[in-house]
Amino acid sequence: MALRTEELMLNMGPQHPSTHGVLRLIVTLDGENIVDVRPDIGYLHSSVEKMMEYRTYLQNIALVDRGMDYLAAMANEEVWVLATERLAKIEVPERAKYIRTIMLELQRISSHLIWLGTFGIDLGAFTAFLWAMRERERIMDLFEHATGGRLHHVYFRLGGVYEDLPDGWTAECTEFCDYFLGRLPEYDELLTGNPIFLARTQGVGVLTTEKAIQMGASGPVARASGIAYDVRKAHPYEVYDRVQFDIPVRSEGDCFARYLVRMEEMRQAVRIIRQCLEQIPSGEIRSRVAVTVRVPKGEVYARTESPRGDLGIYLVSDGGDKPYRVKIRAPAFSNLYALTEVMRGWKVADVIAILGSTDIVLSDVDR
Amino acid sequence: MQEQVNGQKGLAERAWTGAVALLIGLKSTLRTMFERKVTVSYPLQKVNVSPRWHGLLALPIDPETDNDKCIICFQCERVCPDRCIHIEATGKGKDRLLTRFDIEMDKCCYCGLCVEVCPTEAIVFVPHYEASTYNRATLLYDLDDLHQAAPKEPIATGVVKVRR
Repeated sequence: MALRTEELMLNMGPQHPSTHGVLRLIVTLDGENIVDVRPDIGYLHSSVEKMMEYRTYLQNIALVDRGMDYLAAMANEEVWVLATERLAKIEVPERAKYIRTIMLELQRISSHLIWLGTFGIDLGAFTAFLWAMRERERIMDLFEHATGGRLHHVYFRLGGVYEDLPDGWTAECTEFCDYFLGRLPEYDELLTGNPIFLARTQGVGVLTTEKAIQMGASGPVARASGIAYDVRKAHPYEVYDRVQFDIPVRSEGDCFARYLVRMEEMRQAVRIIRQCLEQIPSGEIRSRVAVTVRVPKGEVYARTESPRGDLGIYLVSDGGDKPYRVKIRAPAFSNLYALTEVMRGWKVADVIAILGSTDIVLSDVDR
Repeated sequence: MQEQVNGQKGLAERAWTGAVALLIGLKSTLRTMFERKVTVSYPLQKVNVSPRWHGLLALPIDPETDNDKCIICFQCERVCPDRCIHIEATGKGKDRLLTRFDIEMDKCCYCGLCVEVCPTEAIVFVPHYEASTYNRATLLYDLDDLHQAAPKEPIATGVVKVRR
């Protein structure tokens, strides 16, 4: 006698420990196989785009820090000041550009470390999380010494940065680079060669190149699917056109490829920081900009490579001291939908691995 | 699609690679056990904050005038993104007197824009960060609280100075 079977609807989240924030995944299961996955987002929606219309251009720097991707506050500040500076035609001194690039790359390492730690926890490797937090603490200290804030810095200003780097910061940063490169092989020992980790990630959740383009995936997720695209190379901002670095690209498109791409990106970030520390000129760090700056009428689109991918801001100004309309293009949003597409056909345990390799921040998805 | 990566290998081979990987992992963790500890037991030990730390806000007393340096220009009130500073004053010209300077510390986002725009360095950051309380009303810092909260030497000001 054949058993009667029926599909089961399973809610993962919004309080599931491995959904990286408040994300609800509505999973339809046939036994252990996934028939359909629908992400239910919006739990962290804070209407940042609307709130930005009620704040001046300077005040918005404090808002984008926490309203958008809270793990990469520098990247948010960067895209906001970049959009405003392009529209208002504000010059940025050379030294400020270098400082910004160093900070952005430090933020990239710090964000990738969080991802590495949580990805390790998702797949049962708790040690990686503790070690990643240890390394990240060094970056937090660097941020704290230079900006005063650990997560939310409010360091970038229209036309430069707030304060110059404190004495001894450069040496401290160089020391961190050496320390970090020395630590990375430990992660290779712990995760990259681990058969359990490989079995959970290799060949799992393959995102094809066509699918990645269709769904608008960007950043490490797209680069793991064979798309050699990086905004830092394609549309250089700050001093990315003056430093040498490689874009890691893998063609497999599985969870392990996304892991390898991010690990290599951290090495490249250290390479960029080292070059910037060598080349950094002395001089002004901030050009004169009024506190309530009036941005001329017009519109602009600025895009940057945040740790999660192609982060863009479309800014419309009506000539006042506050933006008329702001549209944020969040990378995590597209990446989340690209990877929930590929979850179909995999086992329910693979949902965790695929979601963990996405590196989503729900504050970035919902905004 | 769901073919196991190790599916083709025999059980003995899988057990062997697993054991080797386990030993490699244990070697790394064992090495870390003998390294210097990086954690502190927080309420008992505390890490020093940096000189630029965005801590609580204060209006330090200037020993020369025995009063704070606020010139009632309302710049911090205007620039605050969360609108958590409330200033009121009476009198005109030289007789201008600060009657109210409240900061709603529960609203504050510690962005430091008020410290940046203050022309006289009247409002500063202090290295204190433990503001937790059982009553939200105590987070409304009035002028007296802000005077008392100030340390002898302000640590972070809007103007870049020589730092130790």
